[in-house]
Amino acid sequence: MQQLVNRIVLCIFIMLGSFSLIVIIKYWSEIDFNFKIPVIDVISLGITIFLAWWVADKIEKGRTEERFEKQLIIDKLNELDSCLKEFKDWIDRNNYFLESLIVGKLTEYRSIASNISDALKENYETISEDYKGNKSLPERLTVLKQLCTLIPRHQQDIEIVLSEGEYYYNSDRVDKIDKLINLIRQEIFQLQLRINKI
Amino acid sequence: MKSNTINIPEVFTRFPGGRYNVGKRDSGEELRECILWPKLQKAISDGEKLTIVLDGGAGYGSSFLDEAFGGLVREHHVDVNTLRDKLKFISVEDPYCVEEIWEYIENAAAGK
Repeated sequence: MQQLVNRIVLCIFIMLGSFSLIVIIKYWSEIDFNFKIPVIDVISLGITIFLAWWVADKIEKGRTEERFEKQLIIDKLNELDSCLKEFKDWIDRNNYFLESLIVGKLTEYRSIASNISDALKENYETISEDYKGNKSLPERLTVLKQLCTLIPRHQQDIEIVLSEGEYYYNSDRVDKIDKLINLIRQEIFQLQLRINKI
Repeated sequence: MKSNTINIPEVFTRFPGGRYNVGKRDSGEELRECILWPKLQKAISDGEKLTIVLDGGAGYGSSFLDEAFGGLVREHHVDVNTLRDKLKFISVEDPYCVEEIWEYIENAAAGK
């Protein structure tokens, strides 16, 4: 309903603008008004109405798409933030984690981050450009994945151990994971603020 | 140049495990030794490309990827340029997985 009202208002404004333009042109070229309506004027009016409607429709569609994309990115950022919060609580609460579960979760998060990154590249190039030289969200999640699942080849790292399909982290590793998750969540928050301002 | 394909979830496992061949889990070492290295050798000798499909798996741990792909450089001394020429990855579900694999290959070449 709101969209229709917007479209009608835009249409009226464009028609008034077109009409004023015609009057000004007629006044300055000193052509007399007469009350006989030539066919060409009727056609011209029809074209003006059509163009006014079409332009209003285009503008409204553009605005709707922009709002939709913006909301979609913000929703994805919220989803990723909730996932990371849940993941952090899970890591803090437990001592060991099933390998397939932790890898699956981190893969899913990176996939969400990858979608966000693509949407930013497509719709907000300036924000996307800011990442050059810094780590992007998917890259940060790769680091998180490495922190949670990369076991050294030879020496057994005392911070992370994989035994019988389960990961064990000591408090130092949990601390590092917590810090990285906090950093990513802060970046998500900053990103949401920037997108909201646009 | 012809191309052959390894679809990891189809020919190996949908639930990849850790780095080494210990325990029951499907490891990166097992993928490399049983499938990847023989197919890569054949691709090199036949002048073919080797396409590796990662989609369909439940996710790949960092140790698994490092051992499977970085291990080609460390254990079989394959040149990075040869790998760049021969390997093609398909990972629509998690595109950054491909970047991660190349990171491990580069690190292995750099002796990290």
